[in-house]
Amino acid sequence: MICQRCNKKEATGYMETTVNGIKKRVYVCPECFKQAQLEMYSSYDDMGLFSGLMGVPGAKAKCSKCGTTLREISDTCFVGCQYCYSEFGDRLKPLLRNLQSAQMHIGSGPDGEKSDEIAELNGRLRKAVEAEDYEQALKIQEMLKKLKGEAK
Amino acid sequence: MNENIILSSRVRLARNVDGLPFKRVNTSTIAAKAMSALRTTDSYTMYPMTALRPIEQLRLVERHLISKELTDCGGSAIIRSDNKVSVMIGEEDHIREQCILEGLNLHDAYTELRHIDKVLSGEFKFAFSPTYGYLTSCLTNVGTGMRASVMMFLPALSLTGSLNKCISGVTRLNMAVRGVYGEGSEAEGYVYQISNQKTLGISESDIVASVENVANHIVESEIKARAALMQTDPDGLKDKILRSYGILCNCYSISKSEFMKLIAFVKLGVYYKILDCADMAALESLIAEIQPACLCLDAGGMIDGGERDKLRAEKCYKLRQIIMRTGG
Repeated sequence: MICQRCNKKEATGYMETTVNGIKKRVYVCPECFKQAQLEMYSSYDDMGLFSGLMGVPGAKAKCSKCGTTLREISDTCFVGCQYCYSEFGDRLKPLLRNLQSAQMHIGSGPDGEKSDEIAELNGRLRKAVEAEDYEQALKIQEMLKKLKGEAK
Repeated sequence: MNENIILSSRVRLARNVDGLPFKRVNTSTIAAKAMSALRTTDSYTMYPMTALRPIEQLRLVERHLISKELTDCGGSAIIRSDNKVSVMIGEEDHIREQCILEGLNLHDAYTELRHIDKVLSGEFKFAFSPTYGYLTSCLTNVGTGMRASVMMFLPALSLTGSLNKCISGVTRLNMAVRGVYGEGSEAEGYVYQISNQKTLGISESDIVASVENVANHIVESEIKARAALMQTDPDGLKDKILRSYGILCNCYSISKSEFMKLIAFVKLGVYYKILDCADMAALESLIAEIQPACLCLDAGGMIDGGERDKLRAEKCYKLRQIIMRTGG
C-alpha cells in the first residue's frame, strides 16, 4: 500500500485521528509518520497536545494543593503533585486514554503480595476473555471479588 | 542464545513519597533515608551530584547507572557495589529504582527490583491510588511506574534498511525504540533501546512478557537480516569488516562515532566467523573504556576532543590481542 500522505513510499503503519467525532485511518510510510508526530508535538501551544482535551471545560482549573492548571498538564504531561490526580479526576481521563490507552491501574501496589496476586489474576482474566474462555473468566472474576473483598 | 544481539536488560520503577510535592522538594532527606534503609541489605555507595566533578557524573551516565536528567537537577544516586542496582533520588520523580543485567533477563531484573522496592517501601509511604496506581510526576509513567527495556545491537536490520519497518511494527505494539541513552538520544554503533510505553492498565509481569516477546521477535529478524546481508554481497561485506578491523588496529586518532561504527563491523565479523574473538567480555570492556568520560578520567582530568581521539586510538591497539583474523 502506498503512503496516503506523500503518495510515494510504501506505507508500513497507520495513524488514527478523530475529528469532530469521526474516526479516520491514514496509512503512512515511516518518514511521514515521524513528520506527523513532529507536527503534533510542535502544535502544543495552539491547540493543546491531545485532541482529547480540546473543548474540555475548565482547562484553567487549578490544583488547590500545588496550583498546576489542567492546561499545563495537557501541554506538558506533567502533574505538579499527587493530589492533581484526585483533584482533576475524570478530566485527566481523556489524556490518560490518549497516552496510555487505559484509565485504570491493574498492577501491584504497596500492600505487597495481595496486590501482586490481584495483578496476576487481572492478567489471567484478560487472557481468558481474549481466548473467549468465559467459564474460566467467570471463575477468575469470582477469585478477584473474594480477594478484593478481603483487601477492603 | 541470542548471538550477542541483546546486550542488556533494564527495569526501572518510579516512586514518589506520599504527601510531598513532586517538584522543589528537599531531596537530601529522602536520599539519606533511602541510603540508611538500603545499607542494611547490601553494600551501597551514595553519590550526591553536587559532590561529583562533571566528568565523574558523565561517567555514571555512560555506564547507564544514572540518567542525564539527574545530573541536571542535582539529585543523588545510590549505587550497589556490583553496579547492577542504582537508585536515583530527585530526578523527575522522588525515587527511581533501576536494575540492569546482561543479556535478556528482564524477569530477574524485575525480581531484584521488587526486593529493593519492598525495602524502600518500609522506609517511605509511596504516593499510590487504587485507581491510578503509583502516582508519578509524568502521566506517561503512572500506574506501575515501570519501564522495562532491552538494549539491542541491530547492525543488519539497520544496514538492510529494514529497521524502519521493524520500528513501525514495534510502535504499534505500544513499544518505543530509542537511542542508547534514552529519550531523544541517537543510536550509536547500531545499538537501540526497546521499551514499553504503556504503564497503566497493564501488570508488571505482562510488561516484562511483552517486552521480552518483542525483543525475541526482533532478534529473529536481525538474524534473518544478517543472513540476507551476507548473501547479497559477501565480498563487499567481508571487505568492509576487515577494513574496519584494520583501521581500528592502525589508527592514530579516532572519534567516538567512527569507532562505534567500525567496532560494529568487527562484531559482525566475529558473528560471521571472519574474525575470531578470544574474549567477548574484553571486547565489551574496550568499548566502555573508549567512551569520552572514561578516557578523561583515565587521563586524570578533562582533556579536549583531539587528545581524546588520540588516546582512543591508542586503546584500540588492544584489539590486536582480543581479535584475530580467521582463514575465512
